[in-house]
Amino acid sequence: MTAIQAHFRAVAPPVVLMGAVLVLWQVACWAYPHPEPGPVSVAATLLHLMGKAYFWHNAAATGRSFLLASGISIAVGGALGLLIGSSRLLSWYLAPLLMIFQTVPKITLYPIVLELFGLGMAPKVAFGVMHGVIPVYFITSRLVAGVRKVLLRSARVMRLGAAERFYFVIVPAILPDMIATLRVSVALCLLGVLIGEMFASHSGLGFMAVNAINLGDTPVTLAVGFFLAFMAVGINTLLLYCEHKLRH
Amino acid sequence: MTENGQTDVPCVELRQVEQRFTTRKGGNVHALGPLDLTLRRGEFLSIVGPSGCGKSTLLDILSGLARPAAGQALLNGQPIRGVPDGVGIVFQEDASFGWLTVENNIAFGLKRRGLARDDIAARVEHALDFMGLRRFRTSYPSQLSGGMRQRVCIARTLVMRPSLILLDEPFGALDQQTRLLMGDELLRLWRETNATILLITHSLDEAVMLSDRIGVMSARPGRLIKLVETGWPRERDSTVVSSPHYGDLLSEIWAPLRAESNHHMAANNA
Ligand SMILES: Nc1ncnc2c1ncn2[C@@H]1O[C@H](COP(=O)(O)OP(=O)(O)OP(=O)(O)O)[C@@H](O)[C@H]1O
Ligand SMILES: [Mg+2]
Repeated sequence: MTAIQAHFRAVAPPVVLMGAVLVLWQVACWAYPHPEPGPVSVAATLLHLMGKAYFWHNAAATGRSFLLASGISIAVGGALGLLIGSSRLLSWYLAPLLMIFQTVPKITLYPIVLELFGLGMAPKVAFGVMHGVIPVYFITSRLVAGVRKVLLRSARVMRLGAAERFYFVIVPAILPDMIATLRVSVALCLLGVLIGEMFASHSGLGFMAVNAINLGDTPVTLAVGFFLAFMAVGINTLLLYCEHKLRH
Repeated sequence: MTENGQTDVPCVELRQVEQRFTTRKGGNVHALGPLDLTLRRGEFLSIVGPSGCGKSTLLDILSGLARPAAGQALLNGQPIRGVPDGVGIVFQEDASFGWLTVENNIAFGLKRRGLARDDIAARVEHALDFMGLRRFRTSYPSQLSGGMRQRVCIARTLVMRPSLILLDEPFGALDQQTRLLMGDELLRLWRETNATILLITHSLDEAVMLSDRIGVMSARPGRLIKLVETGWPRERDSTVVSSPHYGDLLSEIWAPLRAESNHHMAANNA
């Protein structure tokens, strides 16, 4: 088996599974006639939408907010995780507070976010970060705390300082698992951004979806959902591929 | 220098060294000592002792990873504070870096120390040959057996050319034949580099075969209960097993160890 085949084998199953679900759904629609649209008609609606400039305008708005929210979540959450994971003192003080924040449904903070960020891109990004940052922090801190002590002890005996141990041992030791973390947390960032768009914005796919819901336009709602699902699978596949490349 | 290459300058001096730990539940474990031991510069000393008697704890103190709770640990006459220069250690557990190939694992410490590329390459080549790892140079540790991973760790320590080499049961994961061959290689390296070696081993054969002196430790808290001089010449290898003196030495260290191990088992069952 070549390397390419091996990587392909790692990423193909979810794609195959998604295809199978779509086929089953379409078969079910044909077998039991139903007012809700099946994949084929949703796909037709999506193709139609994809011919429109406003669709791409909204998709780009969501994409920008999503990328920004993911970047901030990874940078801030990762830094918090590395710090708190390697310091017992910090973890005593901060870890419980961060976990409490995680259990708060973010939508209840909507008035505060609106107050702080107004309407537009900022509140969407804020919602994305609020959803993504704690999982990144939490898993990173667990991964750092879980690096086998004997690896760090070896590095100390080879006279690596704290910064070198961090860069040459801790970071590479946790990197493959970090990518797995990112797969979870960027999905949450996307969710947060969409929530932001539904409540605090006049652009983006979340805004389009909520408009379609309000108008009772099921095909458009589902078409936006489909498009987001494809994007999510694409991102997930890309990260899965990176993770697979990093593992030995 | 004496005839077998040793000098009288002590490399390591331990005076009444003790170690205690606080357990998670707040209990107090007296893990080691009080222990007195002097390592002569250039000697090969092995330590045997019942499981849990504090052998790894002792190496932690010598490598500067842990401070003793009481007593003094000196290296070349200086108290050990932090990790001293020139000390190499091979841990009991697998310490290979999973994200690096065999050759990059071996080169790791050398690169951090900023040695010239050519020098690093030459030392790595030598170590690959020495440890029989040439075929696996581009493999990752997960693709190797436990014994080969341990060889990677030994190589990674030896390429740094430490003057004090601490080995914690380094051949534990190797088969008997490889163990014997590795022992011979270690002796050769010891002669060539004039390093001082402290070897922790569970194998009495290995201790007798390789060492100038053998220390026997008591059950926890480990103290030194016997120190045996083997009297082997510096030029020696695994063929010493056929010497008549070999059996005498074995029984000399087995007698106190047997008593301690019985004691240890009884204490653990109580
Ligand atoms: N960090 C620690 N906290 C509490 N107890 C410890 C700690 N490290 C070691 N001990 C205890 O100290 C004693 C000595 O441990 P050590 O690992 O030095 O034994 P050892 O002689 O190397 O054993 P083995 O032959 O099994 O490797 C053991 O009883 C162990 O449980
Ligand atoms: Mg041990």
